Amino acid sequence: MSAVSWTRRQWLNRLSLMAAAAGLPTPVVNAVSAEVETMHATWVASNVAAIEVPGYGRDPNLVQPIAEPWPRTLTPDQLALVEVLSDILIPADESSPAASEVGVPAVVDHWLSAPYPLQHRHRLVVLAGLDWLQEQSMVRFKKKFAQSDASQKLEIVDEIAFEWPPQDHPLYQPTVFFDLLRRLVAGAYYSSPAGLQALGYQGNVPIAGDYPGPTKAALEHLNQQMDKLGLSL
Amino acid sequence: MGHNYRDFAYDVIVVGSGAGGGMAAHTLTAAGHRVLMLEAGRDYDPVAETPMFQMNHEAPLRGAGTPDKDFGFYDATVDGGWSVPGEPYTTAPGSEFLWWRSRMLGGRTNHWGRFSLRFSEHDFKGYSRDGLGADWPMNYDDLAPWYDRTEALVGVCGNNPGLDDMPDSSPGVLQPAPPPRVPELLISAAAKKLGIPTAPMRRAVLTRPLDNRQACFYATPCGRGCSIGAAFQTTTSLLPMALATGRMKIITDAMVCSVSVDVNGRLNSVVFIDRHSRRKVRLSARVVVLAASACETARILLNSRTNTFPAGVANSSGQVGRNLMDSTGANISGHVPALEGRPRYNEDGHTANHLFIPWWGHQAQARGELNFPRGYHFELGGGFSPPGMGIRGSDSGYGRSLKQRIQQKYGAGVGLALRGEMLPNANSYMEIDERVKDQWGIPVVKFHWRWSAHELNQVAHGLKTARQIIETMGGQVGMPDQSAEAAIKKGGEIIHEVGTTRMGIDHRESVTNQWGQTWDVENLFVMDGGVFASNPHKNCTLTLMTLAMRNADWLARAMHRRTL
Repeated sequence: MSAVSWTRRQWLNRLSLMAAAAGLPTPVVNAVSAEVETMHATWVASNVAAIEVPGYGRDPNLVQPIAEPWPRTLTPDQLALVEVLSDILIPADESSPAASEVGVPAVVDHWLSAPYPLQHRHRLVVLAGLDWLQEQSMVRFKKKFAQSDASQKLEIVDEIAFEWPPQDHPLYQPTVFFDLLRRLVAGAYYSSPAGLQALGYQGNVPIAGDYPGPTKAALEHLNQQMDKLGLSL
Repeated sequence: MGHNYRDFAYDVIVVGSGAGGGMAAHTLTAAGHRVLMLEAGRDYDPVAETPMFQMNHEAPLRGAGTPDKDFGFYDATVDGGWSVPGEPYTTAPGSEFLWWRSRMLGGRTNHWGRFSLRFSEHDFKGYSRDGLGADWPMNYDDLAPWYDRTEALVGVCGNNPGLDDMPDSSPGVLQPAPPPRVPELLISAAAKKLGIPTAPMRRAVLTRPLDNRQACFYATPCGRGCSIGAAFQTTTSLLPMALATGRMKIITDAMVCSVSVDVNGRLNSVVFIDRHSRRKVRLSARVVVLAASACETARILLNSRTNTFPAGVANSSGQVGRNLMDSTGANISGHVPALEGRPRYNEDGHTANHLFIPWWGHQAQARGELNFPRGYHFELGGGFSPPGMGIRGSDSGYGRSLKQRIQQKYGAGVGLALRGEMLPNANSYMEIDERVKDQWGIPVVKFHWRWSAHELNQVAHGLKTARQIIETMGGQVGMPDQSAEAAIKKGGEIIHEVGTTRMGIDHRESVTNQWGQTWDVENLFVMDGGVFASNPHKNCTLTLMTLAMRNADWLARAMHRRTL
């Protein structure tokens, strides 16, 4: 049975076995650590300096905004990783494109390169997270994440995409990283024109005359829901 | 705006171009008086400068807030926010207070929420009822006709729901309210089951054209300002109207630092710093109206101290800077499965809540069933709002299922924002911090702040009620139970700071009389939120403008009679 065909539950079982094993006598631990796929790379905090370029200031032109007032800073390797992860998070489906097709990686780069405190904190997490992914893949598959095949990538992502381990667990920081990246990618994607369409956002158009309120279909749905909840207007 | 004021003969100097100054100038010029207006910020043209229809993806960081633009890239705040470069304020140890300022023509009216709820007789006479704070020096009936006039001039949409917390406007004054949207209707149904009413929010947003201003076209958030004038701000209404009389000049970039009073106790001049030349300019004045915002006006008075007035001008009561109040605030949000996957339609509306929950607890309070003395309301949030970086909808997973969940949950979040009355207390006030000067050499404001048990008990009640409403909709509150201390917003954070030059009937306990005329200096008036004797939960701007109209009218008549 290959590791990639395991369910997430099986993976969690494996992780708990590993944790239990940690307290066992040495020979058994050695036996467990022989299975390289259960090893975790060490999380190394990023110490990159804050970006010191001007922000857009207190009085920017709002009507013709400069969309990118500061340079992007991710290296080509980092950007490539972000692109791979963006499309794992938001792949194409029948109705809408993948994240990379609508420029999400560049937006993430732009976000992480902003000279503001929140974005600096995010940058520290994401840069460390990208390094961790590469190393985790080395530990597991003896090749970097970028060079691993698709199923191997998902095997690593599966461990950090679903459940929150305890704060002292080696997967805790990677899970924080992936949660942040998910928020950045989803935010960048669903605020793009393609994302607005995928959500079905219909606003930002001028209406002549009175605001019409909900459609008949929207009210019918509401009435059904109110019936189920025992509510009435 | 030009510096050609030197040849301009004026009767009144108005300091500030926001809600109070704009209304004072409009009223005075309409009555035939000549006004010189001083604005600390730059000139601002909402027709040319408002981002209408620009989307989040066109802005840096998808429009998200930053220390440069606290409320997001498109917010209509120039050179300000929670901080103003070169113009700090300080807080006493153990105090937290946030002070929102802007440095632009029209002040904070360019971005305000436009919520416009009348105070009631109940609100004006809180002290008589429960012995806390101070009564206002007038009755609701004195102000009611002025509320009508203000609402008609400003343009307010809403209705008369006949609730005890919402006095009626006269017939024909209000414009029609837009119909509620699905999340608001569901909240309304849940509230109704709990015996809590909802009503159309009254907002200073035109749903019918008025003079040169167009009706709302139900797109693009009001906080950006409104180039068509539908969402009220002085820069599209009161200021152009006053300028059109030919009896007003505006000097922008004029940072007023003090006023001077002569040996007879009459104010004779105003001193400002020209932000371009950084030079001090002294202007003589027959009458001065301060409307620089509650804390900036109190700062000017306190910084005007001399040997004759060691506590500052108009401060024989010692009340200047005291009685500082904000609204209480707390946000409760949740996810409502019943709103998932619902049919899409345009829910922008007038971009704020069409329905809200007015304070419903008057009778329970009168019966002694509540452990807090004053009321609050809930502003309702939720809907298919324009997505930005904050979109949630799933906290785990990836791939197609993540996409499906986010899209399924879009528009299924609701929020209730509590806004409540705060009582004045001895621990909440502002003074001058003599150790710190701003870039213009003006000593800065130092804030002292503490909530009392009145506010914390009120917020605890609100948190519980909001949770009940969300759970009655079958929703899940998105956060664990919070204590009121943890949930309550910081002082100043709701941006309803008032009370620092309060009006009253007794010159020993208040700074101005009911006309905003300072007790000590007969030709010095205050027409901003500083004059509030209490701070009902109903958002201060409508009442602030109503008082400014009424009191500027009184001032205009006094000047005609030459009693001033």
